[in-house]
Amino acid sequence: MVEDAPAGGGDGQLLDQAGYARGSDGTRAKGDDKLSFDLAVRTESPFNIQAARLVAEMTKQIGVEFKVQVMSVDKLTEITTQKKHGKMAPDFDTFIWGWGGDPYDPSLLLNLLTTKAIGGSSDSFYSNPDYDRLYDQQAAEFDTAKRKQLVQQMIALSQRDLPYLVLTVDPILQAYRTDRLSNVQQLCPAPNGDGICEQVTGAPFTTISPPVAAAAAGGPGAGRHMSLLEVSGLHVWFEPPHAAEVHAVQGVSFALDAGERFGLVGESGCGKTTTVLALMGLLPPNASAAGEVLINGQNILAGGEDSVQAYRWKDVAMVFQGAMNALNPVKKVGWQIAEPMAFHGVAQGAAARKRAGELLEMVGIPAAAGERYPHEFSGGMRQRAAIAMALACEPKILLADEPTTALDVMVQAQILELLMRLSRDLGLALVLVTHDLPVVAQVCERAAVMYAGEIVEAGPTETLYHAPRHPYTRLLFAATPDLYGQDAVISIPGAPPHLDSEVAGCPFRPRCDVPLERCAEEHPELRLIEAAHYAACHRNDLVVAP
Amino acid sequence: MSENGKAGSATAGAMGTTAPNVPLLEVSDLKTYYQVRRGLTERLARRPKLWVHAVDGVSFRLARGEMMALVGESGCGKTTTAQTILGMVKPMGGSIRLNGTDLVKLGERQLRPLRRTLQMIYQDPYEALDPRFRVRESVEEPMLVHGIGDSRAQREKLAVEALERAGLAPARVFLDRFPHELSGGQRQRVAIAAALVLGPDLLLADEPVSMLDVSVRAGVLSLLDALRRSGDMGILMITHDLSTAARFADRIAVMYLGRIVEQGPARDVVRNPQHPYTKALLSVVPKRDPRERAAPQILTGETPNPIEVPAGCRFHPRCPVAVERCRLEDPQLRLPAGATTPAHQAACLLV
Repeated sequence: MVEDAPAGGGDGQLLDQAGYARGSDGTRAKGDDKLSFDLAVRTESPFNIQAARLVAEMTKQIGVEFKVQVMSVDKLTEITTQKKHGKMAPDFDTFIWGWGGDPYDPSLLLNLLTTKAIGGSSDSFYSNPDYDRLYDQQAAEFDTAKRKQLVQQMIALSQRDLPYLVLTVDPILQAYRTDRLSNVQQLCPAPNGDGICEQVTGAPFTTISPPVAAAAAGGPGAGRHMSLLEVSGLHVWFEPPHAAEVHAVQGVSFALDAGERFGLVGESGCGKTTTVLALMGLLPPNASAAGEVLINGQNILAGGEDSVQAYRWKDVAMVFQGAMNALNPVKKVGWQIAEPMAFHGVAQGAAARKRAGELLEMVGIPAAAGERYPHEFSGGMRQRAAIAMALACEPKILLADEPTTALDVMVQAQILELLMRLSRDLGLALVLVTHDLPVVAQVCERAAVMYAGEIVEAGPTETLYHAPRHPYTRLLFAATPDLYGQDAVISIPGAPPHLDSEVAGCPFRPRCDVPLERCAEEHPELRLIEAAHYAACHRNDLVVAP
Repeated sequence: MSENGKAGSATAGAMGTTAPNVPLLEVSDLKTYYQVRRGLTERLARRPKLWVHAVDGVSFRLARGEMMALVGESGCGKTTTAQTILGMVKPMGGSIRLNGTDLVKLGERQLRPLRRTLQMIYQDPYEALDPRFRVRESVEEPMLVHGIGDSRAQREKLAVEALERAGLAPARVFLDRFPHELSGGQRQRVAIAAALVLGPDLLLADEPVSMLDVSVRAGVLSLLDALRRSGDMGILMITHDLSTAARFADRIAVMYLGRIVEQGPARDVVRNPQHPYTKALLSVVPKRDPRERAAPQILTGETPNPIEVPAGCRFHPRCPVAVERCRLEDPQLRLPAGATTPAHQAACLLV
């Protein structure tokens, strides 16, 4: 938007256009010394309201008055639409304040108060992480008159032919020039609770992810509420001997409570299995993990791989992919279930065997079957035995990696029902890793869609199906045939990117059916769309006016 | 393309001209049993021979341009049915008529020229392709076996055409690649091209997409759909995925323990199921929409041992609505009372 300032014009010319370009409406007196504008802010966004008030306060000192109006999204949309069609109520003088960049980005204020952005070289803002210092410098350089002029310029831009104005430092946001309303970001309360002042002056650019990410998929209020399992900023990379590092998991965050069922879905190679293996501390030797995995507030990754061992099986257990084929063929099933109990000191000898029998009963196999060998079990029974084995040390969290992939529909239904029952009866937090969207839709309350090592969308499964906010989620559902579905089943062209080099922009862009220009360069962050629904897509910064 | 694909005029000649009312494939009362191996002691003790009743009286028809799905749990005999049709296993009884010719009665030598009209696509393209063969070799090999194409150049031309028909365009880019350089979807397309190059009349696809990534499944299924819509061939798809069958097949046959228990137009079988087994099977298929969480009707246990098939209706031990009669009488396929089309059949005494 910045470079879109009418070319070749000095400030004076701009001001004239501004000037009071709205004269035709007769709503604003020309040459008025005291500028007054309404600033519309979305209701649901306490952070934005706060920010808007601060802007109003700061601009007041330079003689520009913003009246902050808080209104609902519907109202906002209505106004934009009316404005677009020239049906604006004559007495209503509003411009919509959009928040395009990242939520903690103080650049909006900088925009209002400096020439830099207006002048065109706004990139320098982005490349300089030292915002507070920059802000101080810039602010000191400009006198009141200059700042006032700037704001007038901004407003002029907004009033040319555009129905609204987006204030942001981001040059790629030129995309907004079209008839689209930028989405005002809804924000979680800042973790320190102090709001925008602190953010503007204190927060370095790079700290945006942890608070937002920790709340990701954790529902409202996450960050204060301590969940049973909290994964934040998990990174896993492999260092193959003769090849470039592969960043298999890149900053994955989610949280879940006891008794919750959470799905992790995506194509193969998107990092689902690596994520859960990292939670178990069972990554291969050439892999490293960073980030936080909190179980009841304890960071199990704090001491590296070794510290995970104390939690493995006792707190977090896993049913591996193809687990039913992983049973030892020459040992009796009951013995194999009792073994980890002895190893972890949960139970010994006869007590362990008795407990193994109970576990088998719990997963729907007669206790006496513990005396049989795996080959005497059917596929479904072996999978049940594998689940019983995972439950041996009474874990609180069960990670199930493709637990039903090789099974028949009827047996799949039996296993899924078992997992749901266990989660309900034992209060197990269940993480279901699968590529099968319908399975997640039927079993899990919430799910995260992974792509290229990142979570690209997370939220209640219902929302993901009915109102996806990432093209990948929508396309994945469209590629899955449904029993009663009438719509065409369409595959997603292309393949996920290789993760051995950094992907510029949005990793899904090459396969996306609705890419924007900015997607090629700017990596979308996972943002809160609405309560407990997160997505990482630039499209969510746009709300197409109806 | 049918000019090249169907260099099969010779084939048609071998079988005599096909009457228009003869279906492409007509299987009737097909029975394939496997003998259970007995050890020396069991043979000396004269224990009775035991048979696995893998396919136990299967009948269906498939027309050119049609796609039929054979669905059911593992062990129900879907794959054995396909293997028997292909001639990999000799049936104990029944007939398999392809364009009117009964394949069961033919000897190995007479069968050979017909084999090119029957092609199979396997579940796992990773295993179906030789890792040391370039795409060119994989696709040209069947032509060498069946003596198609006079020169290298002609074979290459046919291979290119088959690859493009299988959706690998431009085909020349792929000709000299090895399987490991291809994605799963591309590998499966190469396997399909290797089948197409012979101009088959009947394509048997055994779980053609279950090893592929979700995002590319639809593409391969659409390719099969387009192939049969071209009218050149009929496709028999074997799958355990009812959603796929419902979306892509014209007709569905549900198998249970070596028998077809229900068959009919896909829409009728899925939306108006008659047999209790079909109903149960449909109820457990996960739906995409989380709001459609219907109570699944989960059958306990698994498909019984096909060595000792239950007397009466073979589904009665697991059937939620079985009555005394079901233990005694073996139901045959017939038009159920609740059917809305005469093409719908179910083998249940209660419908």
